[in-house]
Amino acid sequence: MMRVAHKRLAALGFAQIALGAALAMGALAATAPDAPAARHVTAGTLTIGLRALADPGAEHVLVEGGAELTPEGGVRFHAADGAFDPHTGDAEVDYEGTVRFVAGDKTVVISQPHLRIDGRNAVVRADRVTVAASPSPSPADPEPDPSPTPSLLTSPPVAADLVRLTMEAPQVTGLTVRWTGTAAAATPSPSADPTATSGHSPSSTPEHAAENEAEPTPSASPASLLTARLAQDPPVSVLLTLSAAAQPNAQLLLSESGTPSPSASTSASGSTSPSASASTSASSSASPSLLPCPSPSASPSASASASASASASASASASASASASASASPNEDDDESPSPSPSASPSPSFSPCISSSASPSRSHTPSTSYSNTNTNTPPASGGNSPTPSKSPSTVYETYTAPVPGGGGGDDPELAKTGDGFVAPLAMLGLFLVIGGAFTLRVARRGGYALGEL
Amino acid sequence: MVTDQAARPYQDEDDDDSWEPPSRRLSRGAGELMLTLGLVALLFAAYAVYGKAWQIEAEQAQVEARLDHTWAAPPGEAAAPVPGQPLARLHIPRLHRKWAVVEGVTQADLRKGPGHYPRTARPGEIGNMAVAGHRIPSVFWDLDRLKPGDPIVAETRSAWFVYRVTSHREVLPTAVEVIAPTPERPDAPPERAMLTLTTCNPKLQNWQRLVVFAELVRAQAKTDGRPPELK
Repeated sequence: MMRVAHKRLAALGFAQIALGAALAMGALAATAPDAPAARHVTAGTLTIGLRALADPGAEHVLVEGGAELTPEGGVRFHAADGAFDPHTGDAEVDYEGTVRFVAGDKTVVISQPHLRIDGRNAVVRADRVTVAASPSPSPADPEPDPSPTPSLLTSPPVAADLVRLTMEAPQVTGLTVRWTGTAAAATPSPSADPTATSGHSPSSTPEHAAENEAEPTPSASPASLLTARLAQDPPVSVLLTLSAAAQPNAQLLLSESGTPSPSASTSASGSTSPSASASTSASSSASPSLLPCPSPSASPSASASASASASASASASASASASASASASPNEDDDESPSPSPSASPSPSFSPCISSSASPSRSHTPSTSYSNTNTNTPPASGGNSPTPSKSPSTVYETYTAPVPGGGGGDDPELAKTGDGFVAPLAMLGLFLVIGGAFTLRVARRGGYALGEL
Repeated sequence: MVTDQAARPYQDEDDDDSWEPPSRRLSRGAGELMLTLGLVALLFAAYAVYGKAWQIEAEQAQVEARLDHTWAAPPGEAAAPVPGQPLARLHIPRLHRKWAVVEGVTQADLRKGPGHYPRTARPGEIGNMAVAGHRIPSVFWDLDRLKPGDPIVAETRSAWFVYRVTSHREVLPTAVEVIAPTPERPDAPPERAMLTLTTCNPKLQNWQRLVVFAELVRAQAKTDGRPPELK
């Protein structure tokens, strides 16, 4: 019995040491000022000029899904989800809403923009699709034909870097962060034409024919034209409201995009990823902001096909993902949009959701495009080459803005007027004192309790 | 009998009543070690705040004396401010404090008191006079208590410059445009006389900066006496 008691006391001693060490490490880790956790974005807006987003000459502009037009000639999206890292000032936000630019017989649909702020540079990325024959999405007709013929689908939905922004430093006021910025440059529409391998004839892509003038490369001329027009645009403003508590998930979101993750399944496993996988979206509708397909009518067959397409393009199987992307309609959530029906598409399954096919590429490409190399290298294959990429899994390129001198490690900073170690050190000392007193007390009381003194 | 002895070896109170099981000694030693280290850590943290505050107060006495000596001497040519040398005096009546502001914001400069950012405006000039100070009790500890309208008086050799607080803001350390001549538009030329105080935020940490903006409302020559804000 005594030996048992001795063993218990020995275990107590070691446990105290371990507890003290754990507390010390925990105090250091929890209060280290160099690693403040990222915050979730609870609300926020992105206001951006229409010219920065759209093709010129749009006759009218329709907004839906939460987006709204501002009197200054811009459009305002409301944040759905995101994260902000107060230490680095980086942010990554998903917005909801759709803007349609109707110009003649061509409608450009831009939906669900995604903003990534990296220091002074920011990129707005959105799903973008061009519908050739506008199925009368005029304001007078709020209920267009929900099932247009598949011949209207001229380009599968692709996620494109729409605008690059030059942001000023964020203004942090309590739990709100505000940026203002100007559109630095616009990138042309993506080069790769996924329909080229999906059985469509290449002649059915008037978007690229119109924009690139039969030039297969994404030439810089539309970009420069857009840039010239951007001068008249109202400035871009970003306003975020943060959650009060730091959340590890938010950290995950920020760090996830910074690390290359070549497999789509890996990035799809992070549920906070802006490109939540289609299977996630079909199974859980807890956060509709994250879902690429918020339609509650996602049938089990739809989710099955979506997950199949995710795995298919993750394995870079060209034909499989091509059929999946061809099966997607360009409108993600509403029946009243002029969505071409996927019924005649080569895909055997119906997928009502734009992002079910776009999600492998969306989740795939940001994982490498924002790496620190600042190269224009597309994620999987040579999509940056003048010829359109043959692989549908690289349906768009990524243009990483060159760092204009601010992104380096030696930024000028305001004077360091305090020591960051004081609060962690005081916390550590407090823990040690309390833990030491507790240990002493327990060691003594154990003796009393066992009657050994 | 033998087994009984073996089972209770320290019931014998005569030979070793002070015997303890080694595990309890281990626990006690660990506890004492933790207590000692914790006290050392707490004391060092206290020194980092109050010890440095005391050091800065001691340095301030010397710097103030040097500033008075400089101002008592006949005015020479208007030389550029020398790094580490006092430049002006700053009064914040609401905090009941005044400091001699030295030129420069290096750690050595800030150990003497608030430091004036080089290449920003000097007191009273059109532009932004930016001053940094430690967030410790003898310097800018209570800077967050300043409200809009509170006076901040900069004193030079010949004049008083009365600024009034307009706003304050918490920014990241990289937000250097707050000390630009016009903080709202960092590229714009200076158009008004401002005073900007920066310090660390939150208290005892340094991952943010607290910035207090003030604008010049009045200038008064030394020959006209002290401004009423300081009385």
